[in-house]
Amino acid sequence: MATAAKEDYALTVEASQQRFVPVDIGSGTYSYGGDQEWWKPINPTKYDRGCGPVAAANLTTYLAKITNPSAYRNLYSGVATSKNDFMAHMDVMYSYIDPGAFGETSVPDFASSIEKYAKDKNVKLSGVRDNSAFTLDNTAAYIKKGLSLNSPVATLNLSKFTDYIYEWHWMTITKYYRDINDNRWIAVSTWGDRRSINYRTHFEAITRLQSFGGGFMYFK
Amino acid sequence: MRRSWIQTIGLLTFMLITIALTTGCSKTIAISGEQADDFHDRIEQDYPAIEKTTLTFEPLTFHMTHVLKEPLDEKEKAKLFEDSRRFLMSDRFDEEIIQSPKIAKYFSSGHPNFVVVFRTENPDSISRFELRANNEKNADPVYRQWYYAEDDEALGEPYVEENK
Repeated sequence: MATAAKEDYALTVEASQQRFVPVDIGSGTYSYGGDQEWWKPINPTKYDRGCGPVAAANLTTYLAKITNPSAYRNLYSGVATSKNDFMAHMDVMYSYIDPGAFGETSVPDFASSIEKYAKDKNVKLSGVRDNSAFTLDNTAAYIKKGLSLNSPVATLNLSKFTDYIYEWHWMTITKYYRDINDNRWIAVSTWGDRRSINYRTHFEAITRLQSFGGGFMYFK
Repeated sequence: MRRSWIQTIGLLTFMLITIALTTGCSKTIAISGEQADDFHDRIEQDYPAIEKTTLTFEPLTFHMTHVLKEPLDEKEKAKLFEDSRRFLMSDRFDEEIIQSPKIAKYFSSGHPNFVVVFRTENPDSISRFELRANNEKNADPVYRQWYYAEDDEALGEPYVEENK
């Protein structure tokens, strides 16, 4: 059996500290990115539809605080670890994305909403579109490009009625890993937590017959 | 980069599934069964101010919501919270609910959070206790309790530390 090239791509803070947009959720306890559940007691509708806005808040905060503060600072002016500030930012992202009853179900609309937000903040930022065939290797290459730029990659999976627990859901990819046996994994931020997911499982969930699709988007 | 679903899914399938969908990207799993029913019965007997109590799991948090006919004072809330907390953190709840396949699949490691909400029909009258898990290695304490008062949309205050 031929061996595959080992690959390891990660955001810098994930690689060095296994952290990503750490929000203080109690003395000394930090999340791994935002969590739509924080909306649940105070705004159930935002909780229900909020995974896209949370991914958007994650991306823009990381770009502003870590990727390139001199270029992207205006995308998030709050205190990096403040839950109050980050939730206010989640609210802003929610207003821009304005998810419908089924949540945000369009990758292009998600990208346009973030571009509009960036423009309003006088920041030059564009989603990176890629029209190549939607294959395992092409999507992996896209993710690796984003992570190589230290830019988090949002992913949407619109499969439904499956055993895959991350169905009909936006998440933020922070790492891509492939071993010599061609096992591939991604680390994601979801529900305020770091999760490691078999990349084939995620890709096949998006592309299965019963899926509405999905995709990937990073910004630069 | 996106996959075009129009090319691969028939319009009829699309419409049928669309009708079947009722929510956005959240997941809510209602917690029911003998244990939960027993608790509901007992708590509603002990606290006549409770109109109904619901228990749900939204990854990665259990939400117990007490809908109240009339507001409780802070002392009563604390007592009701203690009863609720004791139930949620009991060994039986862990064995029968948290370790059940439909919940356990959300946890490869780590602990769930618990939120106990008090609300009346008045939408402004919401307060809550939260038990937030620290899932870092060797965390001590594993849980911290926070209380959010009715008018407090900001961070709550540490309430009591829990080691369980």
